[in-house]
Amino acid sequence: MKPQTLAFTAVALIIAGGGYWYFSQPNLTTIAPAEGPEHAEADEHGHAETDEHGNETGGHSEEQATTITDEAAKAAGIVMETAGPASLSERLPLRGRIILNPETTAEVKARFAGVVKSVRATIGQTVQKGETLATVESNDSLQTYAVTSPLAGVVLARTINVGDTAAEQPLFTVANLSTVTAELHVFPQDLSRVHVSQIVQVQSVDGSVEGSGKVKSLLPTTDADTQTVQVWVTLENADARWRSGMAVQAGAVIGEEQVALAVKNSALQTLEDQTVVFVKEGETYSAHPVKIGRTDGISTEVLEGLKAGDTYVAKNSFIVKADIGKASAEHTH
Amino acid sequence: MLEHIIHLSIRHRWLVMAVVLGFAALGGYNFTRLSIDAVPDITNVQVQINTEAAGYSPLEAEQRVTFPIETALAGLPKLDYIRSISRYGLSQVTVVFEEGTDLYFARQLIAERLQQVRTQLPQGLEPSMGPIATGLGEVFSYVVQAQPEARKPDGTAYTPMDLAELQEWVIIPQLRTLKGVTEVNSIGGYEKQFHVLPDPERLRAYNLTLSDLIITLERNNANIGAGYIERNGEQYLIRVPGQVASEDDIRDIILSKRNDLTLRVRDVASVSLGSPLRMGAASMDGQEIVLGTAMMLVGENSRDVSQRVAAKLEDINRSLPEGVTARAVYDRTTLVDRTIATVEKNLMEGALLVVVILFLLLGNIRAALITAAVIPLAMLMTITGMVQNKVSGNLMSLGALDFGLIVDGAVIIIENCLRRFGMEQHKLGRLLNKEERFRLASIATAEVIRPSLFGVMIITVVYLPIFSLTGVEGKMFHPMAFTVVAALLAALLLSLTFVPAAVALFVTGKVEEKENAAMRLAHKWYEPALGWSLANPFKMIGVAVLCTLLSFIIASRMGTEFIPNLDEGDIALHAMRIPGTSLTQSLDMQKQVEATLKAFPEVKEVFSKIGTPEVATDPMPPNVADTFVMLKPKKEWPEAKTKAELVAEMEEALEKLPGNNYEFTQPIQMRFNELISGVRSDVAVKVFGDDTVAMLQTANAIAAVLNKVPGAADVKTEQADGLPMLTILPNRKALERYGLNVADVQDVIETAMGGKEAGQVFNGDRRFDLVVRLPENLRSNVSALENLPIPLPAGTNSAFIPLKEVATLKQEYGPNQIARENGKRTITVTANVRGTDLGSFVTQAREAIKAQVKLPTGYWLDYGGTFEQLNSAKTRLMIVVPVAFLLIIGLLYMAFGSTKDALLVFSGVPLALTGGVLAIWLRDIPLSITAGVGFIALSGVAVLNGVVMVSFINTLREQGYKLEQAVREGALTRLRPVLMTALVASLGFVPMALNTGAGSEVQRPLATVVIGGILSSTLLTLLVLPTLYQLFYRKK
Repeated sequence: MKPQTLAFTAVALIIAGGGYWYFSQPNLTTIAPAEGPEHAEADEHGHAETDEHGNETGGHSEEQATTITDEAAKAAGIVMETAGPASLSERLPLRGRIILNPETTAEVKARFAGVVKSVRATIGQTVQKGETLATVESNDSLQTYAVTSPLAGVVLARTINVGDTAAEQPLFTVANLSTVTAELHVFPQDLSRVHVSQIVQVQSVDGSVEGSGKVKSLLPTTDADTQTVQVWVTLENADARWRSGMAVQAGAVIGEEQVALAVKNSALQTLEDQTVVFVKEGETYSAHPVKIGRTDGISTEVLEGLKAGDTYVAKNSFIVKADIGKASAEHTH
Repeated sequence: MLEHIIHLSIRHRWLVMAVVLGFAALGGYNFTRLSIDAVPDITNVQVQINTEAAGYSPLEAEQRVTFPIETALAGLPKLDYIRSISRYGLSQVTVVFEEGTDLYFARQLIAERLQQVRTQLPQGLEPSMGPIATGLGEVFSYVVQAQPEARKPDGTAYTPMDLAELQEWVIIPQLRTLKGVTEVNSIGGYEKQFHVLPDPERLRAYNLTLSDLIITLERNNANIGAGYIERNGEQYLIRVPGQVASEDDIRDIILSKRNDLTLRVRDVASVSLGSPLRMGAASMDGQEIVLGTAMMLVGENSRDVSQRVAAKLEDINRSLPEGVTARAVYDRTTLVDRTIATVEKNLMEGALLVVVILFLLLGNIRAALITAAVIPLAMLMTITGMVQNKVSGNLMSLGALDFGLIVDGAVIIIENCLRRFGMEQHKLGRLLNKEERFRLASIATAEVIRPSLFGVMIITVVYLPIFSLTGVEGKMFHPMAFTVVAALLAALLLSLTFVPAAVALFVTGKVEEKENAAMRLAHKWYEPALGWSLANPFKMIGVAVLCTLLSFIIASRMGTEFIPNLDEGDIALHAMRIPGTSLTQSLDMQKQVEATLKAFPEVKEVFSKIGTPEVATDPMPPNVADTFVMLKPKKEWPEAKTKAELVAEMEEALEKLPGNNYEFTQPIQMRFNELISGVRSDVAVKVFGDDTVAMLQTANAIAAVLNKVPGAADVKTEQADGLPMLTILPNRKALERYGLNVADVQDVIETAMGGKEAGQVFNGDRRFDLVVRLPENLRSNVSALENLPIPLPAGTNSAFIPLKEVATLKQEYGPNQIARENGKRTITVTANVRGTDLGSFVTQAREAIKAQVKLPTGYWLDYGGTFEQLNSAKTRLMIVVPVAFLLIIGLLYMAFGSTKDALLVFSGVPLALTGGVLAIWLRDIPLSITAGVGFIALSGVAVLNGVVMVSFINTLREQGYKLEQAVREGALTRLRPVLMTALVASLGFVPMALNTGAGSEVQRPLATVVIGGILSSTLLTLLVLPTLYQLFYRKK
């Protein structure tokens, strides 16, 4: 081969080698299918976010925070409130029925067996104590005597008519309805929270009748089937709103007390297995892990982690949580 | 043989014309059949199996649905891999088959297996295969909206539920039957149901249970057929209608009878219209809407299908109630039309420029027109080829066609013919007669046909590396390579037959032998330059080598982009929130996102899909929203800016909204990503195992290790946990005490919270579920849930106990989703690599993980990510590219029968590339495959010109010219064709290089490379090549 030929062969080899070299370039990176530079930017951004937080984690000992401009916060519906004292009233829900007050219900019987001569009382009639309900002629003495009401109340039942024979069975049921009893069932785990003279709010199932009374007694026995203890609550019934047999739901007031520091329940969020409240300083919202105490469904007592006067996110606190966690928000398939 | 063909073509010129016309007509017909799409289809062969499992948490969905399905599918023929995802209420198994598997065959196989697995699934769950569509399938979207003042016949306003009802029962049935539509997917609105909402306290008061209520409802809502009777010769069918038709009918159903009192449903429950727990919602401009998406059947023409849907929708609108409209918000036609417009524009401008340049340089309008005619003819023939081979037309395949290069062969032939005609006319001093013309055309064509034939063959060979690409890259670029090669072959065929025939037929007039002013000017400059370079060969070659080296250095420092980003003209973005975000919360946040986007004057419409649509083609959790931003046409924008700038501005504006993370993409891209899915980052480490907690710990440990490996960026662990759950844990001891089964408690909770179907309410053809569920205020109240009455077994007096007596309620965080691959649970850690090479990164990462992360027994790792594809592509290219270059040299050797000449011509390639590299470097365009295609085309042009030049000089030398004389003479004579091909190719690309419309991403790098490269290549052919030739043969 001539030198020129050699030279050109060399050139050809260089080019071929160049092609090899180019395609073996390490920095030949793929931009994944159908993914634009915009995406890369988005990714970088997301990453930067994480870094930022990483730094903060280092700086403020386990505190997670984010910054939201007041304008954006307002647009997102974030509402602030100031932490402070509040009164909590906790209630234990109970269920049961209205029964007649056992102590003011009487079954009237004929003292001597005989023939009913007259009946004066009718069902629903209000009677006074000692008022004659019926007259009976005794079989023994053939004397007619009066059967009187042992208490002032309402005639709830009447089993006789003129001409009937009065014997062992009760003739009338008379009850004083100025008070009734709500018989409520307390389940074993709640038993320790119910005590005599505790205030209980009672409501009929449809909500039309409401009232409150005090626990009169806890029965000493437990129902074998349901394992419940019956609690009697005396209810005022001057206007006869409560009728015996009515199903009711009730709430036993466990405690109505002032707590030193409370926040709205809607402020509580869970972040990394901790209950947190977001506190605002300037435009920075930071997550304060809190230890919580009692709650009444609206507010919750804060035992630790917050001080009175702190401005916290009371509404839409999820947005703040979402903003803190957003770097991790992604879409996988 | 070639001469023979040329000769025949000229002799049967009319036949040739007729055949060419016939081909053109065939091409025209095929154009209507060509499946045109905006972008190439990169979807793999896959089948999705979706199973809706209402109420199932990710754990239950995986355990009871995904697992049996996956197991049943294992071992299918041609199976590539199976992956699955289990989310709340949904199991999705994706089966990916090997490339080239027939989709219908694959679906058939799966259907058989699903038949077997059905019995193993919980009752009532139906696995179904996803629509027969690819990533290009979502061709048309519309919203169903009501005017604010529109009223229903009863005078109330339309609710999202009414719209969803119209969508389900009026619109979808009509669209679904259209040809080419495989599915119409709906998202948004509320599905209509009849809800019976019992008050648990009242039920308790009447000693009734939820199941009493359900049984009663079921027993009072049926039509019965009871055979027939014959009477007087007639046959009477007997039917006992008992179905309820309205809310009042349901209210009046008798529950039980107590002491002469009838207790009706209305006494214990309220009855109203409601909707099931939603998996997804749609909104537009901050309003909840109902969104429908028509999915195109695989292999259909997207333009036809979307036009058909649009036309049908127009029809449907007429049957919708007054004030309710179904309006298109996304129509693929727009994009396809833009694609076609781009191609048309290229065709027109290319043809025009070719005519102008040829006329200027040749001074013969007929010859110019003949050459220009090659463009549409080659184009039409290419289309026939594309249709035959099922290659779709798109921005990639049609956008990369460069007509300047296609006509190069024809240009050379015509130029030679004209030159010979002119010389002959000058010699004879008269016009040529027919015989002379034919003979001369034949000779002149034959003279240059071999070089142009080789040129085309060489270009084809250079495309080989592209055909070797596989996977996504292959799908992206094969159509393009095919189209270009087909166009080149068509042009070649035409230059062999049509061009000589047309020249012989039509170039009848006087052909100026003397060159026109433009050429004279060129000669005036060229002669001294050539003289200098022939006199100073080493200086000249030195400069050339220096330039080449310089450009290699530049090229090695340039950014690379493997696949270009095709602009679809619209924007799509994922707005993502933390896992566990509720649908309602997500909707609220999305309203802000939409308002922010809508405020941009460039934006026409914004609509979003949140969560999972009815057919779970993309099972998104409710914390993710696909947001579609439809842009106005560029000319309506208040100020000129690029789309990238607009996206950056949007991102900045959106970043201010708290709680969202974004990912910008485009509608079709988004769909591709959803379907191909896989792992989109450079490196992915998959942890396989059993226990999600242990897997997550391992994954986090791996992420920590990866973060420390140099070059790691964007290290992320899959968001596998963080879904808040309220776990109601039954207390077995307590249950035992009360004589209850776990199922007794579960049933009550299921009915109370999730709702239980108690039959259907029929309304003509429409049917709605009748559901028993607790009222919303009680459902969302944890304390009410604690006190949910659980009925005790029959025979005890006080028949109810509260739920909290027998179960513990616990709020905790559970798995967000469970991903599986090839039958095993997996959690993926992903990372991108910056500033170091992928190969060594992966090696380092492997070692570091091996040393620092202790895997629990029975757990293993798998490495994946795009680095795999990249590696395989690189390995293949490393073999194929040098082989292609060797092939070129081989072809050149065949052409000249001399190694010297072959290498001489081949030396043109590097200098041609030099100009291309410089050009894209100056314009700050990264190296990409499309730029690579430009380089390929360049090599072709360089070689083509080189071959023409060298073979001409050789001929001159054979005729007895001395070396120097031959070189000088040859170079000067070849000036015109070299300039012509260069100008045609480069000027024809100027509009493309400046283009910003559809397809510009593909065309800009290509055109820039070609323009720059042709300048340098022309310089080479004109100056360096003759110099080299002289140097090379001097000693002879």
